Amino acid sequence: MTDHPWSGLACFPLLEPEFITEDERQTALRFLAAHAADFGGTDPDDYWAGRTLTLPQVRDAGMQSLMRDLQHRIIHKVHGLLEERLGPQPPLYADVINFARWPPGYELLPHADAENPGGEPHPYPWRHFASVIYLNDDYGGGAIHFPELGIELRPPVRTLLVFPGTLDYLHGVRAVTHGMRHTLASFLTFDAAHHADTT
Amino acid sequence: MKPTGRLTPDTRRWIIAQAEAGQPADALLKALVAAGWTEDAALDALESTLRLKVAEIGSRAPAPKPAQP
Repeated sequence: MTDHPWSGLACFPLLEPEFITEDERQTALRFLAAHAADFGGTDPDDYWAGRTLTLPQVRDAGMQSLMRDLQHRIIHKVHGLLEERLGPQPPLYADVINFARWPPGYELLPHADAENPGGEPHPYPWRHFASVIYLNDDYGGGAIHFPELGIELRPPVRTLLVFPGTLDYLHGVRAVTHGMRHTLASFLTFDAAHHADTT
Repeated sequence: MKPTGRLTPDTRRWIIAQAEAGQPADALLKALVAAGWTEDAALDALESTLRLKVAEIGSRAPAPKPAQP
């Protein structure tokens, strides 16, 4: 396990209520309703198929602009929070930002976003932080849980949740029982080589 | 540069147990500082833990029933 200075920092998992405005949430929900087909179909053999829409896949200039703005606000929030606690920090970049939709039956078993137990190589070791913005609450199940921390919750809509990618923050998502769970997820990295240009 | 504390699951559980037992936040703050935490880190720990706990409790609350005529 990598001993990053931010892992275990008392402010994480960071829960920031009302991070987006209600207008922004409604804009996102209208977009998702109008562009549901853009996600494609789900595939029982491909866990993420038909469930994500990344910034480059979004074919709506207004929505792209909002996603970029949100990404910058998330980076600003996390970078400022780290500098307050740890002193000057190198630039933080967005790796990816995407909508994620979770139909009934989908769940995610506990995992970390940048590390594997036992030191097994992880496909995304540069993902230093994950962030999730909660867009709706008209679904059943779907709670995020952190088994190592004894935390399980469904953050209110408009909330931003941020946590490090280390094993301290193993997390999973309980099965959605009905409705469609919608989130806007992104990963942040200090590694400029994995900077997805969101300018 | 502000010193930091490491918030372990045990400390989270202790904060929640003390809060549920009715201990005021300033008493918990003093206890953490006495245990070697900086005040800033202790405040972070209290805020993060209690905010998450409130959200957790809110998650379990039944959704309000629609108004009936």
